[in-house]
Amino acid sequence: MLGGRVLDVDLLLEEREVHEVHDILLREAVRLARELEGEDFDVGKFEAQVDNSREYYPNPKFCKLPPTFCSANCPIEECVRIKMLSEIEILRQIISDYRRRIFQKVTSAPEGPPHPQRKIKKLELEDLVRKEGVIALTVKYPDGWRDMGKVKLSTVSSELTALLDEHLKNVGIGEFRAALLHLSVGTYIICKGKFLLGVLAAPFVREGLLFLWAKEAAS
Amino acid sequence: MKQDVYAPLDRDFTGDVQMVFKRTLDKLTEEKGILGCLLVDCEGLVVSESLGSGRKDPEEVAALAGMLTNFLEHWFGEMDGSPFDQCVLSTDSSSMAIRKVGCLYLVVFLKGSGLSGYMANIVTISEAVATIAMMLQRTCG
Repeated sequence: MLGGRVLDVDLLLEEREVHEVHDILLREAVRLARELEGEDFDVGKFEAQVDNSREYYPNPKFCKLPPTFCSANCPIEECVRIKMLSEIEILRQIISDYRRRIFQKVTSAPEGPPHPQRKIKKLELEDLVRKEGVIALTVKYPDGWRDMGKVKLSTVSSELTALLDEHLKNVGIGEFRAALLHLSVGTYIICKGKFLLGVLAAPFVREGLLFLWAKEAAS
Repeated sequence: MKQDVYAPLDRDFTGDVQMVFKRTLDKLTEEKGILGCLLVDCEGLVVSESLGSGRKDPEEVAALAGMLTNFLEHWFGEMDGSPFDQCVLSTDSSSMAIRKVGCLYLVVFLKGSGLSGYMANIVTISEAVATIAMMLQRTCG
């Protein structure tokens, strides 16, 4: 999904134990929180917040103990599973919200306060390809398209921008500026600016970051 | 068909498939930040729409979506054999998202340029996708 791939929780639950899925989501949430709030982010406090927001804790169907006795080490398997699933749902919502906020932060702040990710502003275009995760880059210079990287993107960049340039205006949604497309091999971005630019990056590269690179490189 | 991770936007599956599609699109269009949406098939024909009056020509939008998705399907297929999943196109005034749902494409028009409009509505759009996918599964198996 955009803004980072949305974890397919249902698929994860089919393939893994609930506590593993819970750990994956918790790690992802912490990673995103750190990205959003910096390294000072209090993991303990965050975990406590998630813990406190559980709705079915404890589950009276399986456990008659008062809530204070309830713990993750509870021997009643089904009860623990339900609690975990409840927490997984909360984490999924938190991750979705974090992704949205990170994406807005990196794509909408024009000059904004210094953000760690904005350090990449100094990167030259060619450095994008050397940057980890960027597979290929194609740029339209005044003398034509030039591919940098192992994958040839100039043809598709050229055809796609021509298609969008010609047809988006006809539909009445304005002049084409940028496109973000998803492939299983990664994310492809075209930005129309100083240079017309195409970037293909590996799936693990976050789209917000990628879009920022592309925007800054093209401006 | 792979199910989306999201719950359906419309849990009322009564009525025929067209009715459910229309209701889902209307609900999606009611969302703040969403200007309109439509469902098209791979040939660029309108299946259902909720674009509001006088805003955009559904036939033109559907034709563009059909052409674009054909191009992307072809290109993505050449790259690694993977099917097209979704894209967001940003213009100087607004943006347009296309999500593949089974054999159909959901096209959503969003307020504002850039990608933040899509991100702000991604959950609702995904819920609409889930509804359409469920209805397709029920109808086509």
